[in-house]
Amino acid sequence: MRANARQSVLGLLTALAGCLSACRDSLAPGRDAASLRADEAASGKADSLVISEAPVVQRFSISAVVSGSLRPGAPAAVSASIVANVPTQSADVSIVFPELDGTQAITRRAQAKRVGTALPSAYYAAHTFPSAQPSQINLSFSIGRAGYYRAVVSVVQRSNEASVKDGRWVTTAATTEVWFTIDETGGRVTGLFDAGTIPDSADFEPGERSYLVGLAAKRAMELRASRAADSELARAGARVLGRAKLNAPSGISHRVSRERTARQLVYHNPDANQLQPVAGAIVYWYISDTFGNTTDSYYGETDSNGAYPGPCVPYPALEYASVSYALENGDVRVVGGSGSWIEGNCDLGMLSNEIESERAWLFSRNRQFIPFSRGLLNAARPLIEVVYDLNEPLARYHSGPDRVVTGPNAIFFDYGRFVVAHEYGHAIQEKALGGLASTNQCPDLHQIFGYYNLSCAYQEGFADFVGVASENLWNVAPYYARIVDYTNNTYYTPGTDGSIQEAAVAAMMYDLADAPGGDGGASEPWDITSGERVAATMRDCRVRYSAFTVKVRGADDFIYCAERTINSAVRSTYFQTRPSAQRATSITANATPSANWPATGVRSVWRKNLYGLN
Amino acid sequence: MEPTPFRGYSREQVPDASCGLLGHDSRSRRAASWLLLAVAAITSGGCRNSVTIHESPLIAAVVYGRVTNALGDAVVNAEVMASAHEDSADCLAGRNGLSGGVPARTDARGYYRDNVTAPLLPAELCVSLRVVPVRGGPVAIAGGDKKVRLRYPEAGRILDSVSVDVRIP
Repeated sequence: MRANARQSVLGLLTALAGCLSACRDSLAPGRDAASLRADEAASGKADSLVISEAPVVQRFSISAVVSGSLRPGAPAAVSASIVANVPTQSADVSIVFPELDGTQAITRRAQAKRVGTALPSAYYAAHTFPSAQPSQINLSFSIGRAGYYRAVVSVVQRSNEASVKDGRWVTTAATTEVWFTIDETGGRVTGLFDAGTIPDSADFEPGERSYLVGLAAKRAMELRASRAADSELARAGARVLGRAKLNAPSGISHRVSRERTARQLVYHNPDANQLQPVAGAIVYWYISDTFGNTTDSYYGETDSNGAYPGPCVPYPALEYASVSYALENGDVRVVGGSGSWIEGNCDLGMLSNEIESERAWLFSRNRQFIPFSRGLLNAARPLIEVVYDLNEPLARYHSGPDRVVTGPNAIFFDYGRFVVAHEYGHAIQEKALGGLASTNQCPDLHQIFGYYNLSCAYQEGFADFVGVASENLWNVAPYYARIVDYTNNTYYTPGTDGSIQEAAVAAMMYDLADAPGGDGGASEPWDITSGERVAATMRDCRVRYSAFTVKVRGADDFIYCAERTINSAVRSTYFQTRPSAQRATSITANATPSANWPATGVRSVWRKNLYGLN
Repeated sequence: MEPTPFRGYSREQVPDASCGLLGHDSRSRRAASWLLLAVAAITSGGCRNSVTIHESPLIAAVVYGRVTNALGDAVVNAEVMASAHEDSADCLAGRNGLSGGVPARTDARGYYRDNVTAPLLPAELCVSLRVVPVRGGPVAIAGGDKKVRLRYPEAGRILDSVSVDVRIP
């Protein structure tokens, strides 16, 4: 026992040395997902990113109230409470009265203020928000003339904290506004903009009240009628927003005051030789007036036809609409898959906005495949980032930032579809099925038909298994279906050691997962029609060798787990490329679903697929 | 008697015994518990290298040529996708291609140049062309009788090429 203990201590010292070397970066303080992204090229630790459905963390929360008699010239106060949900060293807080400051800065209606010009602030100061404690800001003010005004409270991050927290983007600013009236008889706080607050006889605009006569009065009445008719549209807008999965950016209110027009997001798919809709993308737009005030906005997802309710700007000289999109849903985020444009016309009917093909294609394929893979494997992983990189020779999965990088040779057509699924196979193994090995197990040049080692064949074979499963989804060309099962696997040469060939391992996994007789070759006396047991075995099973308990490392461990035993004859006859000291000696944890795999059936499948034996 | 299984070209890599450690022999647990505590304390954030799995490069060759219409005039901005095939019937029909990638486009004089790729060992393969003169319009299939040797692209190495001119009816 003492000798065993000494051996173990030596082993652990080796382990400690290895960790100190390999995980140097993990010891550095302040490491986070953002810095991992920054040094993707360098080796670092693999933080597991926990990414929830909502992609945005609101750095700040703001609430504000306006109090006072709200009579012209009488003192009033705005009190704002700001909470930093993410500690922030420095942020600028401002309080602006846009209608009041606008009228003071320029002669009203005589000259439009240039878009992008900052309004003067009634309050502006830098604050520190170290924790979740609310900061209270109080400002006294008075407004000399009756009218309809608002106080806008904004907070903008100035320090350099990470823009990512727990895998989610963190916003850098927040704003809120409180509308209120100033009236000789005492005003009132309306909170949101309420058109009914403006007297019928007054100009239908916020700010200092002015009474109109003649044509101006007529136009004001027409506008008022138009806004009243918009109430139905407002309800429609609310339904759209309720359907959206993702949270709107902070500070965007959803006042619907305008008609909306039909718009569609599309991309050119060379494979199909046609424009195809971009379904499930995020679309956000707002209409801004010349003061920079948002008068209407929308945030939601495109529907299955890529359609969304677009902005309508009836007075383009006085307003403009900015439309943005992002290729992102709860499953996939295409980095750089975003754009925006200025738009606004009420009379053009349905318009299609064509966006970049490559990223839109990657988004659409992943959006299709990821739910399919969940059904196939009964396993789910968090959101995956996908990058389109012109300098990437083919494709790769990088576990550090948890990201798939795809190059121009690996998209579109049959091969592109296969690669989307294959790379996602790596990603789901990393995050949901026990994780990849700690280093890439394959040589630089490795092919589906090559014989390399147990770990490489296992790592790539599983990804191929996931890839060929896309055949059921996309009818990928028969070439990629060759490794579906033993009968179709023309890459494997009977008599060779298929445990070190990824095509053979992929075919074995497929034969273990498909329906009985599905390949016409290997015997499968049980009804398995999904990859759930393959996935569960990878995720849950552990084997032991020497003094170590490890997850499945190759086809050998996988087979022991599937058979739920380590047969001594199998161990001494097959899988000889693994050094004898590292061969599994016992199974320490098993996957529950494997209980339904009869060992004799499993053995006939792997003997056929990996060694060409009946 | 079963045949002796084939032995692979390379020996299995030694598993990562440091960061891949999940447990240890129970008989020595007591003796090494203090070391485990030390390891756990130092590596509480997880102890594993970031892994990048690169897919192997594809074999490739260059396909180039000119696309013209029935009058012999250049077809400008046509989309040209070259694909490699193992099967000659598939190649003639332009189906079940091995290649993916962004299609090339013809220039102002109708010339194009595209890389054709395949996930195979270096080999001579048949090449088909899929030409779309006008986006969304009819597709023309060409090539099918041309072969080119595809090889791994390496720095400083010139890829083989084949010329395929296409006349759109």
